[in-house]
Amino acid sequence: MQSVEKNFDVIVIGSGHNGLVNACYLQKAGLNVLVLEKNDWIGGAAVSRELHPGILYSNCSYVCSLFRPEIMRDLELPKHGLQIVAIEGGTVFTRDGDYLASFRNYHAKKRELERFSVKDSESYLRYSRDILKQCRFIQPLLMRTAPDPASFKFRDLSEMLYILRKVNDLTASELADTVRFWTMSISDFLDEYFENDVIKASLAVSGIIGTALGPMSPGTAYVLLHHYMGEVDGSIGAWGYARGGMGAISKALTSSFRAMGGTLLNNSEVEKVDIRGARVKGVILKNGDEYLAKNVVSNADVKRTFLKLTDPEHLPPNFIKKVNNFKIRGSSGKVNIALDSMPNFPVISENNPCLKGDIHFTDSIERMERAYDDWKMGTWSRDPFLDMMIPTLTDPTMAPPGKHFMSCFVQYCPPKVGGQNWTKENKDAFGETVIQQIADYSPGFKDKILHMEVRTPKELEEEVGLTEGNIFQGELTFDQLLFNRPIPGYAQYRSPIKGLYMCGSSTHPGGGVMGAPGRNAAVEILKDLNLPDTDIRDAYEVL
Amino acid sequence: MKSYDVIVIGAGHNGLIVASKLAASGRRVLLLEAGDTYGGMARSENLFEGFLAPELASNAGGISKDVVQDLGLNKYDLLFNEDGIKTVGLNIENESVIFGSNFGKSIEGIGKDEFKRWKELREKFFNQSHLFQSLASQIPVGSNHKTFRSKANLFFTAAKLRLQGKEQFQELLRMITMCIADLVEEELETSSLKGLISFDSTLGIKLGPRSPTSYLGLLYKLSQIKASYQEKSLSINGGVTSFINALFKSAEENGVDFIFKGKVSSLIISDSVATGVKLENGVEYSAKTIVSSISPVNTFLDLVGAQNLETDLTRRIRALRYSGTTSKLNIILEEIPKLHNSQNLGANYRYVYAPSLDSVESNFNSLKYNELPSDPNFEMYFSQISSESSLNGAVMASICIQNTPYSLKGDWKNSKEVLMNKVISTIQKWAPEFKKGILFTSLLLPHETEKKYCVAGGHWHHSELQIDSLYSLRPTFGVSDYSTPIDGLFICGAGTHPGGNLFGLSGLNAAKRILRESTK
Repeated sequence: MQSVEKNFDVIVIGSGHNGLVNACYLQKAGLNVLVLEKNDWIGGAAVSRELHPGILYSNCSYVCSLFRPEIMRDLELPKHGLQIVAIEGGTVFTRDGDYLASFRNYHAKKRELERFSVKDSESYLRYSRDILKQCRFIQPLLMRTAPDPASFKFRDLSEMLYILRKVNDLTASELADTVRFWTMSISDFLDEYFENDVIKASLAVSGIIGTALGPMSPGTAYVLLHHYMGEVDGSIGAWGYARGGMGAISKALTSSFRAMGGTLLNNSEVEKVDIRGARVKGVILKNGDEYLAKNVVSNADVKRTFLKLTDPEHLPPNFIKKVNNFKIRGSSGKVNIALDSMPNFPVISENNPCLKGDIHFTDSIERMERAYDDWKMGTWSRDPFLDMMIPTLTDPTMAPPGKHFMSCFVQYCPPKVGGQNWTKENKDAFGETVIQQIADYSPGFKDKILHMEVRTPKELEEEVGLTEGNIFQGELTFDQLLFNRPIPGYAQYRSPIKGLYMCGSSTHPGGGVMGAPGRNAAVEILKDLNLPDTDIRDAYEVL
Repeated sequence: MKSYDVIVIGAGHNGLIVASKLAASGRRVLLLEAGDTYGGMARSENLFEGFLAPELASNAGGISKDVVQDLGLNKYDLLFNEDGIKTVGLNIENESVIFGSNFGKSIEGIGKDEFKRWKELREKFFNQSHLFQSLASQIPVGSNHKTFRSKANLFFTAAKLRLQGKEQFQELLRMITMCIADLVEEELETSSLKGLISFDSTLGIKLGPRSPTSYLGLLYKLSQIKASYQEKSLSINGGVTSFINALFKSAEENGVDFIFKGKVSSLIISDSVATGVKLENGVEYSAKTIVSSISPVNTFLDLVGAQNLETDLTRRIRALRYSGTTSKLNIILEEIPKLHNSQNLGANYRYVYAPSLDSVESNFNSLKYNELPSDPNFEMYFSQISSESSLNGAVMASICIQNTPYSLKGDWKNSKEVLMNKVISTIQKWAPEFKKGILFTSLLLPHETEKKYCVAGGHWHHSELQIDSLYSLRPTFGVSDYSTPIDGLFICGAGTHPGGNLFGLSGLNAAKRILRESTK
């Protein structure tokens, strides 16, 4: 083990992207920061790993859009090798042997929609305009600490005033639309624009990814926004691949962090946060080592932080109850596949750019909702919804020529099967369900598989440390958003213990490889330490 | 053309309230009703051998105190008795839970610790329903500029809630959009109790207990309890019928003219001003003020017509979700059946079959795909048929079946029988003699309600009572303060704030709004 000093200003638990962003900003502000990572790789759920010789896997998160450009520029990530390549298109294969492609080019997209419904292709413009309006409304809120509406403190009142002013900028009808949008189900919302089932299914996707809700559950229209409010090169709603897999983001962040003089240790699993007399003293590792710091920032989710890493005696019972009631629900799994050659989809030519984006087989909202019903009853979906990507079509650095990496995000997959822990048979059956669905549309698919990794919520929890394997570290329902995230009264990254902070996706503004929670937490920590946050620029100031 | 000050369309309870109140202010009021009697969806029908009873509405518990007091309904034989209605949660496997009146102030059939947790939870629920209760009697912030008063009211309501305490306010903001399943699972253990609460939260709306925002359904119900006589465990003697009769007498006494079988076919509108109505038989009436108590879909799309509306409003109205989700089964029995444990089924009880949360959720799953639930949930009331009828001694079981699809996949022809038999055989499990005593059955499905009662979609609340269609968004943006873009046209039905059931505040608020607007 390398010898490091044991005394730091700040210790960050976990090297997920938010932990790294947080550590970078604090190091940049002149603090001496230590990041502790339990695994021998860096990046939490934003990783690229070579699980089959020569082929890089983005084996957890697989696409990137939400990562805030402000952070990229503040931390000079492009200089440290980060490159985001926009995704070309996407496609839904339908059961009747057709497909609905989508393209980045508006006219190409419109023509394709017209094939399914002329009326819908006309509504699409109105739809994208309305979504864009909602994105514009929410984007500035992402990079601000949410005010506590129950508090009478000056900063909360003035922040509330800022939000009220923004609300007041809307016309009455825009406000009405915003309220409806935030609360409706994606299915009802799409019904107001579109008539064709395939088109609706292709657009509803973003409303359910990562959540334990079906497309007919109220609140899913907002989840859609959560997948739309990102941008690639200033194009709002666009998605991209990080060149070299999602691990490239963690790599660039680490490189930036180390260049500023920060310390990062692998294989250092934290056992407990050391608390003496209601304030933080440091952390104790599983191997018995202790590191000292007056400030500890946890990138772990709120349940892991307060139910596992902290002794309950230091926390108010009411707080523990609320942490217990925080809804983290594992709802998705992943199947990562190394392919010998490009899979063949007979209805579409191999060079069609729409294959470079997300590929789906779920062609109706009803199929999606039924997949969710299976999850509600405690099992994985018999007819699962797959969000498939072949990033090697866009990024040849991830695999040798001709070979491909395919990422299949699978919804829905429960953290426990019928209340019991996952068994190997369950896991194999789950993997087989997914592979069979692909093979139904792509003859000969099974023969092309070189290697396959099946990940259920159980693996995500064990390897990455996400409680129940929830990719957002907590449901994105309104009771857990903004000032309610993670817990009412503790939405400003602080905890009941002096010196202990949170910076993971459990905090505002929530999940996705966004970096905003890490950044916002850094602002609050610097405030407590009376240090200037001049290196952290406001939203859009850099653009 | 005969001329009035006010024409009210539809003699449902909201229409009657508006008519009576406006007539009391000295206006000459005409009430037009498509059916042959008053009461709307609460009207009495000839069910069996001359026996008259409300076919759809079964419970008058939610009637607002304000309405009764404002119209002085007490003087029209509206009497109350003190035995509030208890709810029995039917559960075959386990002991049934019996909910005391006033939403479980006392409970039989659960342990001491569970009751303690329930008591705290119930208190939280009731505290939070205060928000709804105080909003219910307000005129929502509308789209026009005369809404300063409404905005101030809204602000004071929020301030009042904050003054209840920081912790409580935070809990309100967290809980308000949650699903009822999470809330009861955070605190309770008894399966049938959770089932009962889930049922009550989702009855009449298209949500399951695991759908976010389903807690609002419960808050709505509780606010109705608080605003009505149920809070004091009083119930109306004679139920729905005596309430509707009292309203009719009140309207009649205030000088309202009635025309039955007078279905309005269109409004007479020129330059966005409504000047009168045209009936299906060709007769026309004119008035400066026209108030529609029928559903907003029927009002705007059928009576006003898209040609007289801006496209934005037409689009919003078309986007309303108004497919009914409940059906009504009426059964007349020779006598009150006995339970299998030889207890009597009583008239002061409401029986609910929703044995668990999962049962309610899986019922809702079927509804989503327009399929019949495999084991339908329902609530049931018994009422003794009075001695004046030839059916002396008989009873009517009035059953409301949750999650009945408006448009069934396949055909209703055989399914209707199937649905009815499922419910009857569930009841049969408790009351083995039930089937034997049946004299008559009738099942009214949502699409049949639509036709018979002239309500688009056959929806109880005229349109979904969900978070995206409440307060300023009810029925939809732009028409939420009872006025419409058509000058002289107002709306006052269940589709307006605060919404459906036999509540009456939609009518009362609309009447106040109209009185405020114009002198005559």
